[in-house]
Amino acid sequence: MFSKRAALIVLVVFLIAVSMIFLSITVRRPHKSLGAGRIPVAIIGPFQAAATRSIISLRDIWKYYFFLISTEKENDRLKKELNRAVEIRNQCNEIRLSNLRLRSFLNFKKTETGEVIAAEVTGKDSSPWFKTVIIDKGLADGVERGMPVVVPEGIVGQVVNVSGRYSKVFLIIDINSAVDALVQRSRARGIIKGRSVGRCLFKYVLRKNDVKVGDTVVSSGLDGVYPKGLRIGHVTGIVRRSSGIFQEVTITPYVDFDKLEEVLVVLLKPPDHEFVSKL
Amino acid sequence: MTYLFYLCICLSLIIIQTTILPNFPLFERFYDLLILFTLYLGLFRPFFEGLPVILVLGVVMDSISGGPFGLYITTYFWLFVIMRWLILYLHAGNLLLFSLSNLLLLSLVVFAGVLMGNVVFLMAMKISQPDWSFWVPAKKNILFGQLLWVIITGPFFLVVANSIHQRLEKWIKEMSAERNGLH
Repeated sequence: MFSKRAALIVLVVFLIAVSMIFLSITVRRPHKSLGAGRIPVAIIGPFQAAATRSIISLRDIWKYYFFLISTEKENDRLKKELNRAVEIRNQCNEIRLSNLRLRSFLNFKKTETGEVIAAEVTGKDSSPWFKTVIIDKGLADGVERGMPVVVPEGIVGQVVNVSGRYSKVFLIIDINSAVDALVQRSRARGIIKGRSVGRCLFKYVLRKNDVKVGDTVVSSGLDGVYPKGLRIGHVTGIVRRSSGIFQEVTITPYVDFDKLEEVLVVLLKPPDHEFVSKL
Repeated sequence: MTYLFYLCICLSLIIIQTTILPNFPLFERFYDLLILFTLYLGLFRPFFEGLPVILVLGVVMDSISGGPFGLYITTYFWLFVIMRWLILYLHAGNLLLFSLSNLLLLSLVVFAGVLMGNVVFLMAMKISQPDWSFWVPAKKNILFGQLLWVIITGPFFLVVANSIHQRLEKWIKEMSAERNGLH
């Protein structure tokens, strides 16, 4: 009834339609966890960890044995920095104590920050368009999907897929990422969206709000994922168009995502709602 | 044995591109090596031998990467199918590989393959975030960088992969012939 050629064309059209429907569903629900998704992470993870450790060992050999000349200078510089840091720490201690006194005086609820667990980045996303990393901590270490991941410099991202000993972390510079944030100085609120080339957009900031280049942007805590007050980045560009109620603010994150090696997973119980999808 | 070979190759390529290459700034804009492997399977291997490898590879990459689930499966599957279709016209047998004109042809094929893979990714990103724009220098540089890398290294990857695979098959045949001879 049908020629072989016609049957082939029908098959190809059918497969294209299936691909389009499948992709159009999954594209709108990024990081919707599929059970099977854990298995490849669990299989690939140990190999990535071994390769990463080998690279770090080689780099350390180079660093420690061939660059000793600059170590003494660096040591002097670090000693000076340490002295400064001790001084700052003393000041911070004073501020912390006065803060505690004032908080108890005002009967404020203590901010929940949760415990943290250190993890090593064992693998990075193979595509430059998507921004995820694999870390060497998983369910066995108490890590759960939705937990925030940070470094001392600021927010890194959140856990989106967990296997026994490894997890996939979705970075804040990924285009599907969103973080509710505040300008530290003026408390102007908006949403940080990733732009995949190392920068973020601070969206939905009202034109009337006071934002200046150099301002620090911190998490607001209102998205239920990231604790309040974590540093995200600083403002590097502002565009106020003649029309529209929002201004376009560009943020450069404090975290250097290209040099990410160790991270801290904040062991905060994730919220029940679907946090990963777009805000 | 063939599938064990594929497993080793896939695992090595995944480890190389997720752990080793990101440590070198030179390879910041390197292309997806598994696209080349997909092209290799499409051009040089039988359809039903390559298809399961492509599908498993797609699932693995979808699981460890940040894209929406199904993106890699779709990309690899269609690249593989297009290569099978293309081969009907090119008749790309092994003899083709060793002449300059065919290296140019392979360059064109790998260039088109990586470009198509990126176009699918960019379309997915555009659907996912309609206000996202590709037309900024940093993003264009990523694509151009990948295309440049693949033109330089892609054809050699295919030639080397094919050569290793043929040697392996020859060795397996010799081994089995020896074993049969002993029995």
